[in-house]
Amino acid sequence: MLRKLHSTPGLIAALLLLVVALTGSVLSVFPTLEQAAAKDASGIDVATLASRVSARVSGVESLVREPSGLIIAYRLVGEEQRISIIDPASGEAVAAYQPSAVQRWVKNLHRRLLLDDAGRVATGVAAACMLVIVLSGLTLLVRRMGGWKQLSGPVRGTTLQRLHNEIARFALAGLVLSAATGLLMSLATFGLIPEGGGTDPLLDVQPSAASAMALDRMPELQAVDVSRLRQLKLAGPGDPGDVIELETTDGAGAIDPATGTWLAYTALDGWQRLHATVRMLHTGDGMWWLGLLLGASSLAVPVLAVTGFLLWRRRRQGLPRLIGNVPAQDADTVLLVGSETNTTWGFAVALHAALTSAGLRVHTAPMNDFAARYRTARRLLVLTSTYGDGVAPESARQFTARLARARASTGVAFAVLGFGDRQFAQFCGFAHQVHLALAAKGFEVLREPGTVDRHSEPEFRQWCEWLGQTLGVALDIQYTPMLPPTTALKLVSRTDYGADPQTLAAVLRFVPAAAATGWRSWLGFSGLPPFETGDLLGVVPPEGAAPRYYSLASAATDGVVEICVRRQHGGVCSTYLTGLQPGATIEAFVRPNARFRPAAGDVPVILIGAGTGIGPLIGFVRHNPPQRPMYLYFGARDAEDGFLYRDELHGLVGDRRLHALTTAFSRSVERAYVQDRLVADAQRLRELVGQGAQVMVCGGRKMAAGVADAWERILAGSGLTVALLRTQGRYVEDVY
Amino acid sequence: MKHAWPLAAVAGALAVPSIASARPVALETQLTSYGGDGAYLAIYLTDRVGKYHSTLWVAAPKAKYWKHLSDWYRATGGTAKVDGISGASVGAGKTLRVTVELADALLDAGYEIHIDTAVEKMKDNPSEVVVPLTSAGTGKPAVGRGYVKSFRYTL
Repeated sequence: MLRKLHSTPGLIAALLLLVVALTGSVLSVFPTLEQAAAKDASGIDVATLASRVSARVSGVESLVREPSGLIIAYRLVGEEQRISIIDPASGEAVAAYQPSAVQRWVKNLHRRLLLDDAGRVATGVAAACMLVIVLSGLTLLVRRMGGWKQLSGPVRGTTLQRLHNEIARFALAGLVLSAATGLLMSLATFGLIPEGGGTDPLLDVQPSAASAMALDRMPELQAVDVSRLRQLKLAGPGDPGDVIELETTDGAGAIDPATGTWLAYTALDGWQRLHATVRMLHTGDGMWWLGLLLGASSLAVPVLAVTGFLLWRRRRQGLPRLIGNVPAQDADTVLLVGSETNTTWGFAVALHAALTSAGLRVHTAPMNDFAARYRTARRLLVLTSTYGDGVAPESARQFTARLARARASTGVAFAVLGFGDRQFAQFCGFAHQVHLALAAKGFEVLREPGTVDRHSEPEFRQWCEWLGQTLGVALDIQYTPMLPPTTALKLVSRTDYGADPQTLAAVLRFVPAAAATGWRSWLGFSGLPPFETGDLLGVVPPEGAAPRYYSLASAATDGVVEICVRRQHGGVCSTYLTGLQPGATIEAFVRPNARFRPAAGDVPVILIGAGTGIGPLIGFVRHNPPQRPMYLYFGARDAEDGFLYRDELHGLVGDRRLHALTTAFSRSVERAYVQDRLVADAQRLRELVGQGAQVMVCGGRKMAAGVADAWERILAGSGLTVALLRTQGRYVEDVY
Repeated sequence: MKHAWPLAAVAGALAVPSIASARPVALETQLTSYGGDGAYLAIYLTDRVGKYHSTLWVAAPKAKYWKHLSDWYRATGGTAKVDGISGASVGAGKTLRVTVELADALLDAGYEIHIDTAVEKMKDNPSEVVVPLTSAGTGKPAVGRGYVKSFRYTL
């Protein structure tokens, strides 16, 4: 709901918002330019200024102080009106005043799209849309970051998500101020809020018509500092009935030219003061630094619009089409899905369809959309995968927090089905956590969590059969695995390591089989989908077997897709890949793996990998700017066999992208494992972690478990634990 | 602008006894290139002692800015009825041409045509044009002190 509130106004009013924001940015520069050009007039009172100007400049009718501090005089020379810039120190006219035509044009575009009232309405609507977008966006950001206190912390997610959220965080305050003040100005223009100001104080004033007093002696002019002046209209020289009109930041009135005292004066009322303040906050007139700040914030709007649109589209494409999805508050059955790579969605779609055709009213949604209350729900079904060792997958990351905030439930039964891989120590770990959390909230347990190992369709059908019997309906499951669109990639080179053909490892490099065409090639796209080092390449082996995932050693900007593969005994995909010769093509897609990235900043990074786990790690080192210390601990069989990237790694140490390379060879004379090397370096590693270092582990799950044990020993007594580092995103794993 | 309306309304506003003693008068006001947004104008009549008599034309759609047409605004108390004798503001360098109905009795009787002008963020010019309303004055251009480059009326 909140997400819709955030995206819908943006999608509808995108162009309008861009015009208003960009013109706003252009206009924001003018107060600074004007203020820089204005001469300082502090400490001078209006009586002194008026008398100085009248003495030096002929035909002065009125003096105006611009918000920038610039003093200008309107004067009649012969029959012609002239506008001059005044030096307040001397009273001399120093130049002709030429307001910028560009500024006026941009301002009219900004305020009313160069139209009349229709344009004013449109920009007012744009301000309202912007306010809705910014406030809903702020709420989403706070939720994403895990609360107000964490708002300034590092943003996690894909590059696009980070870009959108980090820029939004910078621009939020400015955009709120611009939109809110803009909306107020618009409402005032259309009389929807009062503008203030009663009757004109100058109706029915009668000057005493005696001979005029010298301007510099007039008490009411002496009482006003030039910084408070708005405008001063002098009395016409040949007109005894004329008065002096003075407008200040506090009020306006008429002064008797004979006595220099008020004939009438009205102070600004509350509304007028409010609107003056609103105007200043919106335009930055008289507050140049605020103007620049708002302008910079507005400049973020195009970037936010584009990244926001891409995120919206990715989200839509990522989600499956659910036929007949019932609104959350009308459903009797709520089906929540926790998925990292969307494979669980394939199962969810099948279950959703079967339950719906069995006559149930089903609402299916990501776990992140868990509602505090489902009014009509009688049962809650959760299908979720697990990320790594018991961590919530992408579409369920906010679930635990949202469940904790919800009130205790009564009368809703639930069942959880976990999807995972039995090779992991915590098989379906997250599904078990969800089961316990729901039970603790008062949901009624239908049964202990079910499990599905490696997308096994028979296991899924078995669970559905149980579900159908429990609900007393027949479920007709039509399951088709959900795969994203694939790209054809051509193998261009392979480097083999290892003597034994049964266990050889290979570095494979692919390029797109078809070059980019049309607008993509114009924009310099390579024909590769966007990806970063550490993301996963899903390879679909022939004959439709389930895809296998390989960590990427390259980024899309490298123009090459590089992965490391070791031939597994009986492994369908690894045998297929390691059997490819250059020129062969594969079908593959990219899965973001945003958690496995070096954190932003300059903190040291400790990379630990074994075997083909070196892949993403060497990618990080290749893209490492030399000033950031990176340490690599690499385990292989021996210095000759399976030491992937040996020569390149030595080169990376040479040009300081890699601070230190430590190797462990398990089949050499020493028989060392990478965890032994870590423990041996305990002192240095403890220091590095104390400096805020991040630990990144990539490799098989046994090796990862051994490394985690080693770290527990290294950190013992330091007050830090692996678990704590994990929650801070400073201990991340890519395990297979 | 819409032609029929000015005729009817001015006839009413001036309270002339019959349409036979009135005549059309064309007002042509050309503005200078003053370098601002559209100007607001009030064109009105004062009598032989300089007192406000009636409004001929107001190019100022938003009444909340009328106070910037200050002489006219004060003379009318800000409550002038301008139905049918008002229109859009006039852009810099543009010319406003309107024809209104005028009672014959006002001609050569000491009446004067005044024009007040105002532009956003620029100086207000009350009574920047003041010309006597006479048979002899027809077609003679007058120059304003502010944004009016030339004004003439044709009987």
